[in-house]
Amino acid sequence: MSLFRRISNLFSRGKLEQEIQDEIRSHIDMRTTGNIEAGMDPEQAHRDALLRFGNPNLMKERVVAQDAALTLESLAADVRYSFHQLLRNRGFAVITILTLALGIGATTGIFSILNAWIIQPLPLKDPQQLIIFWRAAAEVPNEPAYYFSWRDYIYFTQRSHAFQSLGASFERSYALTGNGEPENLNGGIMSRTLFSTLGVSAFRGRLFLPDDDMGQPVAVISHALWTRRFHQSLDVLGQTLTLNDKSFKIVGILRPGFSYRVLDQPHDIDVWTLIQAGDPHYKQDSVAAVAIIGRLKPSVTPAQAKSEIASLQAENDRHYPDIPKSTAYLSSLQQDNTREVRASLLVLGGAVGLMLLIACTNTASLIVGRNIQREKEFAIRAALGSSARRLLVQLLVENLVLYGISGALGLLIAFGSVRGFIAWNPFGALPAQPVTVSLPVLGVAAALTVLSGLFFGAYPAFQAAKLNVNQALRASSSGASAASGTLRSRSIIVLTQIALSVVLLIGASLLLTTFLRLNAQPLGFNPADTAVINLSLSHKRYPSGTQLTQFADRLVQRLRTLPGVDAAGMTLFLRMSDAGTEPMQMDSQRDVSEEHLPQAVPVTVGPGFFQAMGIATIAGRDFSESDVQATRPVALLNEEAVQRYFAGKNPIGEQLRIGNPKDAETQKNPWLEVVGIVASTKSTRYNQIAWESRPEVYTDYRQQQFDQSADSSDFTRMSFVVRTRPGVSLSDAAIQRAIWSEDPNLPVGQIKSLGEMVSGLQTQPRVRARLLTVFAGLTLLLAAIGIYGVMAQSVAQRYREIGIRMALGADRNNVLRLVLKQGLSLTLFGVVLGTILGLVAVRFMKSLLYGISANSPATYFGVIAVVCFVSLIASFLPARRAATIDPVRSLRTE
Amino acid sequence: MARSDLQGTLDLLVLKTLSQTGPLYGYGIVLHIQSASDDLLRIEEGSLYPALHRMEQRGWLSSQWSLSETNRKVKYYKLTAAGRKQLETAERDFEQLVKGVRAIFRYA
Repeated sequence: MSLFRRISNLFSRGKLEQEIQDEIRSHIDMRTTGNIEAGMDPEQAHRDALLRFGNPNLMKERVVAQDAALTLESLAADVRYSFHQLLRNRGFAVITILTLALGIGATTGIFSILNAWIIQPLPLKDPQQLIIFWRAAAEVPNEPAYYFSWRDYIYFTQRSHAFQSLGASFERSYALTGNGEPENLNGGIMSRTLFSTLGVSAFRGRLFLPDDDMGQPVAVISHALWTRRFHQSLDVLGQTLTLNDKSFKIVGILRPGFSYRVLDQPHDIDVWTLIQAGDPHYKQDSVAAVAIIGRLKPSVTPAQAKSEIASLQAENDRHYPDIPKSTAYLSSLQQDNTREVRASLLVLGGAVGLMLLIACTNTASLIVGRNIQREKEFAIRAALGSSARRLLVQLLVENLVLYGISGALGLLIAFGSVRGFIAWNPFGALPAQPVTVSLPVLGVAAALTVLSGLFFGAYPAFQAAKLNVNQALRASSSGASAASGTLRSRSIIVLTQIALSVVLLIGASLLLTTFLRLNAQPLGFNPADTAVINLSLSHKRYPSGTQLTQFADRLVQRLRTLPGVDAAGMTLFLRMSDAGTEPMQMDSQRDVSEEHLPQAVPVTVGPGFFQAMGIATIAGRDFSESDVQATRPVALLNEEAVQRYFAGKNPIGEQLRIGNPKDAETQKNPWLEVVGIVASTKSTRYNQIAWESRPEVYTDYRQQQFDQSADSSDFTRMSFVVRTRPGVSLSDAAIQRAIWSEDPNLPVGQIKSLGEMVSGLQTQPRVRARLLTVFAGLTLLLAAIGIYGVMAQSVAQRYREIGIRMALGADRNNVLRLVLKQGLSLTLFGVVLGTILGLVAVRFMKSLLYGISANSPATYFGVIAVVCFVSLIASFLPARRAATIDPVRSLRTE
Repeated sequence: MARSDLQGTLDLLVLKTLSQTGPLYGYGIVLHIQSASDDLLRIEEGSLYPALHRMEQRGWLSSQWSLSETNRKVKYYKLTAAGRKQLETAERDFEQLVKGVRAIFRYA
């Protein structure tokens, strides 16, 4: 019976209270009746009964508190009460929930992205055992600079003991023809051992077998290509694929989600083929470039493997004195895939982490402030018999409700931001695995929410539990502050926020300046009004150098006739980053030893190229139509080469030859006469943001023989640059028609402008600057809300004090100054702390900066000015309110 | 050490009363304690109810609404088996307390 009653009580606190009420009333009634019977008059009898009983309401509270089974019920009541409270303080609720939701959402979102990219292991078997090999330039030992050669791969496979197996591959654009529209595919050409090293299996069909590299060439396609191009039809197995005019039999389909990328490669490979046994380009001593990957033996550490490969490399390099000085650089495959985005992601992670911290402290500050306002409510309830435990539980529930709503909203923001990130794709590449709001991240965010809810909720509740009822009641009526302690802790919170926003603003400002400086940098060419077309010409269809030259001549002529076109030119090499240099012999300096030979980037171009690029001719002449095979070979130097190697002397007329004189190949290169100087253009290096000028030597393609046999590939790449008159836009279709009228079977890839290529190189600094600016702005906003809250609270608490001051003769300006002074001193402490923290923090970002010093005073003063200005506004509003206090009313209040 | 604070004493008084009188309501318990102690023990009547509910929660008492002799709706409390056991323990503890206090009084 009693148990049943207690259970039914769970559902109705009202019923239980009624029962207790009845019980108490019947007791008092009986005592009253007894008293009357003993001879008291009714009024006295009732008073005596009450006196003997004690405070009935208090007793009722105590009886209710005894009913442990009621906890659950009272929890529900607390939750209801909390919602009520939130609705009553709508402004507080909205600001708190938005602040927290933004903090939690942005953190979860960014860390989910970070997780998919650099924390979650790659979707390959035991990916921690996979190590990729590069050569690093002697000057920059921690960045890959060159590929290893096939001959190095052979050398390593024969002698290395640290690896279970090694595999080699390189990427190649494959023109798929014959079946539907021609299409450029991302091809991967690999050694037979690559798939087994990676530990991948076939989804349908089979992968490569030991003798697949002989006889009929075979291909394995990706699940994505199978889906996109072949609509998942199993008939493709055994079909023939025409790639770069060669036939391959499709033998298998890779499993979905398989991804093997090297060097920040932004896309996956569509089709894999093998390096054929006996291929003349892949003989024992081939210098063809390959990416080498190895699977470590379980007992070998990466460091041991590195030292083994380094010594093998040094050993093998001794046979080939002509190669550039370099050292082996080994890294995990994951690190290799994220080299460019890593810094940006870490900067972002740090920024959102700080923002979450500020969001949490801001909420704490708001909650503390609100609890101070409710101090009197608590005091009254305590006086009416609520136990400290009861108040504590209720406060905790209130905070958990608040944090629960914010957490849920935050998750929505997280999902939204992940989707938005994928749609925006700011890095131009997405990680190999899909970015999803990951469960561990979700768990951490949830734990963070609940913990900060408990922590920041418990602290004020703890204060409330300690609350001295008498003092609190007296304090609120006398106007003196019982809450000066909490105001002080709130001030510390705000001070911290100001400091953190100063740190973020400094970072954002430095990155923004970096981006602007990079953008403002004159590049030596004019990226506006251009279109760049990249073509790959198959040697099957263009078997002789003459044919290639004629194609280029004809296409340039045709492009020039397109309406609105000012200039067009061809180059074999249009890259704005990572151009390799070659030694250069000069006729006037024959005595220079080979290691001191000047180094320059050789670039093959044709007439019209400099006009199309907008590169100025400084002296001498440009290539002209009269420079042909039969005439004397000529060259142009850029200013950088002239300054570095001719020390201001006029190089026109100088004879030079590209290549090391010791190298037999060099003998085939003709001596060139320098006929002109062009402006230097800027380029970058891999994974570096700085623009630099490098010495360049330009030659004319029509004076060269295209040597197909030396090229290890089956085709020659050409880039055509077209410049239109300003304002005229040239449609891709018009360009396509022009190309197809020369060769209808030529796949035309994406047509980009020079501007797009330049901005592609600045992706990382641009994304970093943009995102950090957004986060710093949000942080400043949160800090401003914090300052405003503290100042408003302080003014409310000093209401009477200010009234007295004004009654005693202080004028409005005095009051304004009084309040502003308080706000600004808080700001100044925060700014000083933030500047010190900022000076420490920027030391980690030095490599991300360009054109500005990490300690640039202008940045710091600018940030300090902005923060002071914002906090001035935030404290001005409460100050103005203080100045309008009516002294008479303030003294009469309460 | 025997638990022998004031609350424990109130519990003991209530348990003992119920064991002597059988089922009884709050006011009756107060009257019984008063008369059985020759008016020596007067408890704050209200504080009886938290104690009754607590003991019911612990399973020492059970309760039932019923009518009193004077036809008033009251809640009768009854000792349970667990309550009887608790009474024995409480009585033993109380004897110990009294012995202890006496011993101190006799110390000279």
